[in-house]
Amino acid sequence: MQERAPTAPTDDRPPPKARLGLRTVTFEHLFEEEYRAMVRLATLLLGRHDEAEDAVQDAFARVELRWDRLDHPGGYLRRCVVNRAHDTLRRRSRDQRLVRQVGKPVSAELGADELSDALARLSPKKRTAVVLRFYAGLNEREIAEAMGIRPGTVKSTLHRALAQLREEIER
Amino acid sequence: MTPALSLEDLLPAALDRLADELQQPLAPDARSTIRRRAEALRRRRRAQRAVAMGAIAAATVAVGMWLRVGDAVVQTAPEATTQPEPVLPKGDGRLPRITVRNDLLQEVWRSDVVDGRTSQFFDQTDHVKRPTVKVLYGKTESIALPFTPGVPLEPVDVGGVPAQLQTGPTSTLLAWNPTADTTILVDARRLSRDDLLRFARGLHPRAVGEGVEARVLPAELGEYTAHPRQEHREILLSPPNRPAIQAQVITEAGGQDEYESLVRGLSSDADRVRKIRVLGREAFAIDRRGGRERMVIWRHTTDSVIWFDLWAANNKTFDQLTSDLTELSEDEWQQLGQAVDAQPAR
Repeated sequence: MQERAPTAPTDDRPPPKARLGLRTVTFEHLFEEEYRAMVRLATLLLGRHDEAEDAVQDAFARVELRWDRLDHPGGYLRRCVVNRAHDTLRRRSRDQRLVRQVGKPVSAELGADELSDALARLSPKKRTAVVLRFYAGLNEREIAEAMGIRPGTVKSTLHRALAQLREEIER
Repeated sequence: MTPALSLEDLLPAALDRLADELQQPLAPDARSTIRRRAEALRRRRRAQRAVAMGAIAAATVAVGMWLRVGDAVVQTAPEATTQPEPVLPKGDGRLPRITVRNDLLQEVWRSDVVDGRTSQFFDQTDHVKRPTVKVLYGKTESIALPFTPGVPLEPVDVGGVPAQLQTGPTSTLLAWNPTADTTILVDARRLSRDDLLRFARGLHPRAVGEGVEARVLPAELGEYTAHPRQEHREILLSPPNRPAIQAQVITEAGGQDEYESLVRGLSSDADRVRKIRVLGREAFAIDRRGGRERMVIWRHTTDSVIWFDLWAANNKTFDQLTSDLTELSEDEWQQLGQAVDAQPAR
């Protein structure tokens, strides 16, 4: 059972909140501790730093808005980041709608980083599952929570994503 | 001998290195940006709540008046409102074939099943005969080049930079690297090769994310204005004061999880979300970007999700086009595809 932090703030700042029952954190603490890490995570999901930072700022804004109703702000933040990244990818996918029929790139640099190239060819769902599992080190239940899907779906998604990654890298 | 590492073993360190490579200095004013965004969200939610309360009040008055009309109406009302939601048709593993049949729009491009999805693009019919040029500019790794495999690439010169040009049946694509790490992609339809090259040579990229400046507009596009759309790093040349209606139908394989994830993602920054019915199914209508973009998302079968996206359509047009969505047989779908492919490029 989580300890509820004292409330009744005296100014506009969000009230402090207990996290994991270990110590009291405020929104400012969460920002200080997680902002950089979330930007790195979103950068891997999106492949672009500028879009990643934009998505993370938006996610933090949503956390700040709901701060006094969140028991697990860290988990909610991660989910918001994943959702915002998906939204960005879907918009990008729509705008670059032939993306999956890609031939060889013009620049030799595009193919320089095999992993980056292979990740970019995964669907948003597969890419997210891979990054959350192998970069963020989350287990299936945590990935399911962050992505809003069932743990069983995480397992099959990861399986398919790894198979496709292998194929892309070996190509 | 050391056994070879598996992909699973290699990924954590490789992803970490990739994150290091992609990482750039953090925005110095991130905290104040978040504060501003939170405040904007708060204001938007207050406004939505006020609108919702107004709608409930209006509905209450309307229901009150309606109940007084007569016993017959009162007796039929509960039956009408307790109709069970029809069960979704069971999917057969194939994606449904959906299109919009309306004189206003004409299908101009489609991608058949690729990685579990199909896409179709529609342009406003009276714009289909006019030149259309789209420009994408951004970091090279963020722009995939849609060259059709097997169709030859012609090397050309754009302002002293080598570029590749591919002339397809419906569009001409031109791509080059203005700097070592950026790419410009131009997708031109109904524009001559010479006009396209003149236009491309007159493009001047700004900073990444701020689009490009088009200094030379082809003669036929002289009346057009370039609208930089920063979030898409894209310029769409369209007539001033009269943006063309465009639409896209995307069909994806997926169940309830995918549907919920899609609705959640797309509605997170929506101006308005409401429930409507499309092709006999319950759907979400989502308005974004001040109503410039309107979407409808629904589960069509147990294993498919459809997404209908409209730009520059007013409420009446949106309602009309949504009601004109149609499911096709496989034969009709193939015939329509042949007609789309037969549209000439210049």
